Amino acid sequence: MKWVRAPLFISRFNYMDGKTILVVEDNPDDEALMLRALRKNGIANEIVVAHDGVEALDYLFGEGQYAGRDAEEVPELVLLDLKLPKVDGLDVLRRLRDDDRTKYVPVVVLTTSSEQRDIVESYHLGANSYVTKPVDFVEFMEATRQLGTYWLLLNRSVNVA
Amino acid sequence: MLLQQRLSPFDWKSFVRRYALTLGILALIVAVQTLLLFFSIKLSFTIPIIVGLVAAGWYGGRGPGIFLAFLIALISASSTPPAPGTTQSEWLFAQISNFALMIFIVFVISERKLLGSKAREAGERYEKLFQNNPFPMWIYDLETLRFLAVNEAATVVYGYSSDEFLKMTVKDIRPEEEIPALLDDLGKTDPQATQGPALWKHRRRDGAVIDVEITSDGLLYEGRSARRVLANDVTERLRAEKELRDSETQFRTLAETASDAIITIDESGSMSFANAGAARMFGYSEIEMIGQNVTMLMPEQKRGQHHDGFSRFLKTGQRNISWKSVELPGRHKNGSEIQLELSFAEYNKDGKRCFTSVIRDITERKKAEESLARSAAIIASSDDAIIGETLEGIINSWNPGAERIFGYSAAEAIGKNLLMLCPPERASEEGEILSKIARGEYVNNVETVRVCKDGTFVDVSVTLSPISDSNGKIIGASKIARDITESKRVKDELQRLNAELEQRVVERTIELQSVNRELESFSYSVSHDLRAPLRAMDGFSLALVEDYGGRLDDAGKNFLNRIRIASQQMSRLIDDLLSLSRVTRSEIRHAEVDLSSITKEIVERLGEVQPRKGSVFDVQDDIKVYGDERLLRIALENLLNNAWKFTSKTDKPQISFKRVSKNNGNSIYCVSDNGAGFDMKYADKLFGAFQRLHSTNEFDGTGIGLATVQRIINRHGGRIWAEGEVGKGAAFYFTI
Repeated sequence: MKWVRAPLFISRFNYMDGKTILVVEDNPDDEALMLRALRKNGIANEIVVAHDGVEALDYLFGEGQYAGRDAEEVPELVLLDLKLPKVDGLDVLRRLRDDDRTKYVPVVVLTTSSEQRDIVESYHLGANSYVTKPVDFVEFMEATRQLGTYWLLLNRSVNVA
Repeated sequence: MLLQQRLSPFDWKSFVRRYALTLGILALIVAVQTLLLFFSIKLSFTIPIIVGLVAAGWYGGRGPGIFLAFLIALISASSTPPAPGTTQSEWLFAQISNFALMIFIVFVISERKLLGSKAREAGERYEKLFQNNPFPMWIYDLETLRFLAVNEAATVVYGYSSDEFLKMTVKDIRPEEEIPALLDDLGKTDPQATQGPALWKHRRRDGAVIDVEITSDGLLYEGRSARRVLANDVTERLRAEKELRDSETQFRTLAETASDAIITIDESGSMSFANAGAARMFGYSEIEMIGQNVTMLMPEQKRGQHHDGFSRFLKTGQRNISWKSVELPGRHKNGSEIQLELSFAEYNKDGKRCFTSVIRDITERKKAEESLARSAAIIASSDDAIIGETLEGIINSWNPGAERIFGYSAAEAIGKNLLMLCPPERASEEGEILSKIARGEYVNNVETVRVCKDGTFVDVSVTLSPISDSNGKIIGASKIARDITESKRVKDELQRLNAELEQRVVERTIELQSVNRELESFSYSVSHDLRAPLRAMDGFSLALVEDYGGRLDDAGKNFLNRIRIASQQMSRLIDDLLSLSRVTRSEIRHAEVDLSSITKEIVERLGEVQPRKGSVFDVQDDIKVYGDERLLRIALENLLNNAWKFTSKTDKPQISFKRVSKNNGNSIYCVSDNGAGFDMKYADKLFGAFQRLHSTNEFDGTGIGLATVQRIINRHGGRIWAEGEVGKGAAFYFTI
């Protein structure tokens, strides 16, 4: 693996774009580390954190505490944990894919589980990528950087709006 | 008596009679002379004297005649004085010449008489010979063919009286068809020649034709040219001869065509006759057998016995085997033994003892008998009831098994109808079964209920097959009934137990499934939840160093670093534990697995990820096993990772994978290296989870890899063990 430093223009590009990243994560430690990693990698997009599946769905479809939010405004990227209180990650993924508005939102499952059936089920439900969170924070940082580069910069998504 | 007859040839009575006759004649002569003198008849004395002499010579014979002549001469001499004028000597001369004349007459007469009686005797003798001959004889006229004379025997044999014969010709005693041959023969025959014996056919008065042997010769009979014939009736003899010939032919044909072997031996035991049957039975040709000793037809071990028995019999007449029928083994030309039944007979031929044996090959019969006996034994010993029945359902055989099951003895059952075994509500069953049998169908294992003699019911399984006579006509059935009361009970019990077991399996499966689910959710939680805090520890430790590093001294930074190392180590432990639990839980899918190519892939990847110079890999090709590829790959990864890891400090690392030997048909595979090795003292600890023989400082690791390998091998039904030496390397052997 070659060590590549994050190019600075990513943040500028994304910042200019102003698109949102939805992070679905119930663990506050992971949330903090995730945000740290994103920031450290210069990703300046607006980051919305949902702490459980219900919150995530509320945000996506403009319901509950996010009532009134325009559901057409889909996030640039969803980083989805699987093990979530209330509604778990796979259910969130299923609902998201079932809805026309969010059908094509890039969803990266970012989880601790390396269980085969989680991986299979995630892809089956339409996850775009499946990444296991490394325990080593250095590796975690690197993974986050690469995700940012790929999904926010290189990858082109369907523009539903 | 005989002596007397021989000593008394002299017939006194005849002698007295003849001399008395002579004296009577003399008296008569004297009387006639006296009468002649008395009546003065002038008649010569000579005539009565001559008559007297002739009579005496004829009837009395020579002696009395001479005696008479002497007496007459005496009387004459005494009564006749010499005639006047004659001298004494003249007188004497006259007297002597008279006497001589008389003697002469007597001689002539008596001689004549003697000749006549001899001729008569010869004629009589001949007549007797002819008449009393036991063979028929006749004389016939050659011209007229008329019988001139026939004897007694001819009348007896031909049935004609003597008078009838004399009115017939020789043609009359011939059958019609023989006459031309007779005439032809007569024409050719020299009338004087003696002919025969020749065979002719003659006809008797009653029309029966007889065979006669004719001998004839020519003769003059009563002045006629005739033939004298002697006929010998040989009808009987010819018939006997023919019968003998016929009988001979008949017996020869019989012997030749008999399927039995017929062999005749002489006193030495050598064969003088062997028929075609013998040739067929023993495989030798008749030529090969004739003249050879009969022991060639016996198995070698029986030859001595035959020899002893036969010579004892010849000497003492003692038989130690039955001559009517005895069973003995024989030997075929090809060496095989044949079962024979023999009978013997002895007879005399030209003063020599001969023994004939009629031999029957009973090999097949023996086999049949044995097979019959076996069948009978099987039937008798069978636990099943084996019952014979007619198409009408009448029992005609009943084995002990039937008696055991149904309680009726054979005597009670035979002749009864099978309906006696049927419960009333099943009475129609037998009819249906029998009609199936009559159609030639089999009835197999029909389970039904029958009633025993004591009224109890018995569950039976019935199998019936039709029985046909030699013409193929179905005449009945053989029925096998098995008491299945017990087996039915066992079956029911088995079913109940099976059902119970199934129920238990279902319950246990449900339990297991729930345990499995729990385990899965536990693993899931472990994988997910245990790692989050570790990540936090690691992440925030790093954040501390990064953000507040300036305020920490080196010791502080070291502590934070240790926190990070520990959390990462624990993360690896969790990973390995999960892997181990997955190996235990996952289902095994069997297929052919190429261990060689998997090993090569792993080795190649190892080289890419942790490149090292000078490593030698020795991977044997084409090691293929039957197992779960995913699990075996994990096992090999662990083993090869270990080998790679523990050779990291070796100068010339060598890692090999090969099949070392076959042990009881099971291959043994080996992954070996020349790395750090281990002390065999701790060999048993190698495969325990969390067991390590090296410190983490020396070689990194969690101590779960080999436990995982062992699980995988065990799940394949194999075994794994290790050999090693510190500093020399380690070898891991496994079977699958």
